[in-house]
Amino acid sequence: MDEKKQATERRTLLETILKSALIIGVLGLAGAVLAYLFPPKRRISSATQRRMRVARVDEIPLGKGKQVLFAGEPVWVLHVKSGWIALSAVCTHQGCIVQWDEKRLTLNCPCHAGLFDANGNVLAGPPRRPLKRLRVSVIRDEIFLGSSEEEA
Amino acid sequence: MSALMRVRELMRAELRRPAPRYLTAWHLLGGVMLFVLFLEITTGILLMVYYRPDAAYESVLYILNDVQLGWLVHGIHRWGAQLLILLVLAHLLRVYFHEAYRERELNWVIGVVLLVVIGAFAFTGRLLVWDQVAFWSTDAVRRVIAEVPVVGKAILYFLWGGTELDTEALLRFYVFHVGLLPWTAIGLVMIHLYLVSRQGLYQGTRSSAPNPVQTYSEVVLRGLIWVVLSFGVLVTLAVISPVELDGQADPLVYRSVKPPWYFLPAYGLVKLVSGALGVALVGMGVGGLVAAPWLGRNSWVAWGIGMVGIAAVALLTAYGWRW
Amino acid sequence: MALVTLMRARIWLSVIALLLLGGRGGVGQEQNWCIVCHSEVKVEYQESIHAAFAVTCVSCHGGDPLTLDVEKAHAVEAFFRGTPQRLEIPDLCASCHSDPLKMKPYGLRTDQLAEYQTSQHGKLLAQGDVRVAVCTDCHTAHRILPAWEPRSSTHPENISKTCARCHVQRDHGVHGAALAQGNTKAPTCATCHGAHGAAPPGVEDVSRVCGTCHIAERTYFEASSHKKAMDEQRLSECVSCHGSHAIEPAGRDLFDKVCVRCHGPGSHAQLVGQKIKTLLAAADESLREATQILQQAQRKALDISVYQPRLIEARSYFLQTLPAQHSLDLSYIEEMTRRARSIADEVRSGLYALQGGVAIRLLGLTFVWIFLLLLVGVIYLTLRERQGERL
Repeated sequence: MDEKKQATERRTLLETILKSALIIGVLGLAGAVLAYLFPPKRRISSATQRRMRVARVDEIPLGKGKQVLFAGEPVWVLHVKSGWIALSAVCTHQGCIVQWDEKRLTLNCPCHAGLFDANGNVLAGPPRRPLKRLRVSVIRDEIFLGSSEEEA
Repeated sequence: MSALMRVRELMRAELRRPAPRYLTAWHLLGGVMLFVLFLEITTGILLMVYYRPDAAYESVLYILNDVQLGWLVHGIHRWGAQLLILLVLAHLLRVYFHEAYRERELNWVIGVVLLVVIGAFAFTGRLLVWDQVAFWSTDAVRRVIAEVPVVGKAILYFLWGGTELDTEALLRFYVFHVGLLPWTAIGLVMIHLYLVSRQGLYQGTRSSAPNPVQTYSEVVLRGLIWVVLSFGVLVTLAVISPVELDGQADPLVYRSVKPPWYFLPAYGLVKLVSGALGVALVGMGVGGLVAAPWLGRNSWVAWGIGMVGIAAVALLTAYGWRW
Repeated sequence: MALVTLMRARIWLSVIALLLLGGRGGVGQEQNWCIVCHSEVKVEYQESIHAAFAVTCVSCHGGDPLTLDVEKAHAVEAFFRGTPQRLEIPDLCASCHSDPLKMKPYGLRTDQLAEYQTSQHGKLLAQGDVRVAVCTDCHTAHRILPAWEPRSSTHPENISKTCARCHVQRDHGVHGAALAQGNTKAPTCATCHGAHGAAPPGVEDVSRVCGTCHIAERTYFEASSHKKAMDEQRLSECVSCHGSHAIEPAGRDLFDKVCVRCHGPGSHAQLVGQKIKTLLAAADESLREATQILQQAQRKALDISVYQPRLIEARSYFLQTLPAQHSLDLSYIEEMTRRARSIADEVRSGLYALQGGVAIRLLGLTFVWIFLLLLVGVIYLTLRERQGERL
């Protein structure tokens, strides 16, 4: 009699454990799914829709430039007479970072003396291709940077 | 409340029914497959939340890096697909060598069609990550199909949306993978299961040592063990062998890519017999699989054909893997 | 009858001439009968820039282009000159090409003759040595093409072959290789030796010649202690270490090979060289490792967008050091290579940490397995319990 009662108790206990374990498992999976569905901080967007705020217009006076990082690449945003120009700061020769020369209005490469003008054209030195141009847009009083002009 | 209770009683009665005594672990394969298919569909739906065919590679990177547990969902989906193919093949061999297809020829044919559908899932899904490996392995298939006379171009127009592999093809593959194929698979699985339940399991002539009396609740519990273990295996694979991408697809930088293991037999055959004939032979192989129940009327003949078939597939796999 | 035949022949000839010259423009072309007989130069001439601008045979050779009569055409009264003598060729060409008024519409320079007279070629010709190169040797006599046209004998890709008609062909080395790869900015023979004013650069001029392109290298070199010492000993600056013509890519093995030519082994100067070599090698090695790990991480689909620009920066510092090593300024080289290395090491450790996220995943996996195994155990026990009950 006792044995049988014990057996029944054991059985109910086991089934309770099994049921609760299954419920815990399902709850865990549901939690994982909720974590997955919670929107991440960084937003994905296609290349043409990406943009980055560079500065306010009055922060870069005429003749000055600002170097920023855009999509893992250093970029020069220049303020010249014709307006705003954004150029990749990576020299097309060997990949050094070019520097904006405010006096001469040129981009100089410190490695092999490559020289570019503010439009990215090669003025002198070993580079053969012009610097990659990026889209730049002034919206009200803010400067924004976009994908390269070829992609757009 | 009483409505729920009634359903519960119905379920309990179903579980208390005695199961056939000859039901072995082999028969649980189908149940595990059902679970993996369910897992594939759920993870697939979860991936669709963040995947975008117009920014395929970036969105996969996003899932892997930014989305919480995104790597796990993607990993389970990818490894689950391989496990599913493995299980389908095991199930196919089990049914064939147990001769469980006797008097159930239609269900065998549906099963083979399901195998093809699973293959189509794997093929279309592979391209969606849009990395170099995905691009060039799919492009290799394009080359083979383009060589098929008369229908080759038509197939390309239908599947690829043109003769070139580009984002147009990616979009079509996406539509097939998440739109067309799931419904086909679910429909076929339902017919498959319905036929099993109506026609019953094939008892065979040489049934192995019979199990003690058992009810379906025990069968379900035993199946649950396999389900839990296969889930564990998939999570483990997703952790220790995470998805590796091979850089965004570049249509002008060639990469020589081997197909995944489950396409190696077909790859080996097309390598061995190039051109339209090779493609025709692959088609004939599938046709032979469909016709298998009618080919082996006699048990010994069926066994012989099965062995020859396995040997041929093994040799072609080895050939495709080696060269 | 004969008249008719002759007329027919003339009509035919003019048709042929028109066909041959068709589209070649040029006012005077219809009247140039020379090429009817001199068909051996016809094709060459018609391809040339002269044909395009109606500079006909007569301009150089004289004679009468309007007649098919052999004697009349080559008559002395028609100022027929025949093949110009080599001695008079520069002046003949210069009669147009040094005339600013004549060249103005074409936008051509007019100083070629003046330059030529300063060249080794021109000086020897003035002494009566006719074996030296005159205009036609480089530009060809009839198929004269502008230097920018790829078929031209003076196009950068063809210059070494053109010079090699007399000199030894020297298109090996880094410059030749760059040119062969289609980099028309790469120097040819003429870049260093001059084109019309061709002459070997003097010892003092070498660094200036090389420095027109290797600007940073020259600036650093001139700040170095080498500059004064080599000037005093009249040693050729760039050539002493890098050689000339067949210039090898400048590798770090140069420190082992060339320093000892002047500095004894074990001397202070030689040790400085070795120190520079070690610094560069270490920075290069760190950069290479970091790049490798970055590529690995990229394959594993890890987010590397923070580290990519850092690596570009490190590479930039390293590449800046390469010309800077000519200054022999140890502290500067040390500083630049240190920057490159520290960034590269930072990238490397950052990427390792990124891959270290795997450890957390493994921990999670362990918990998942503990739970799953417990679950399997409970299911197994339940099963056994039910079977036992039935027996």
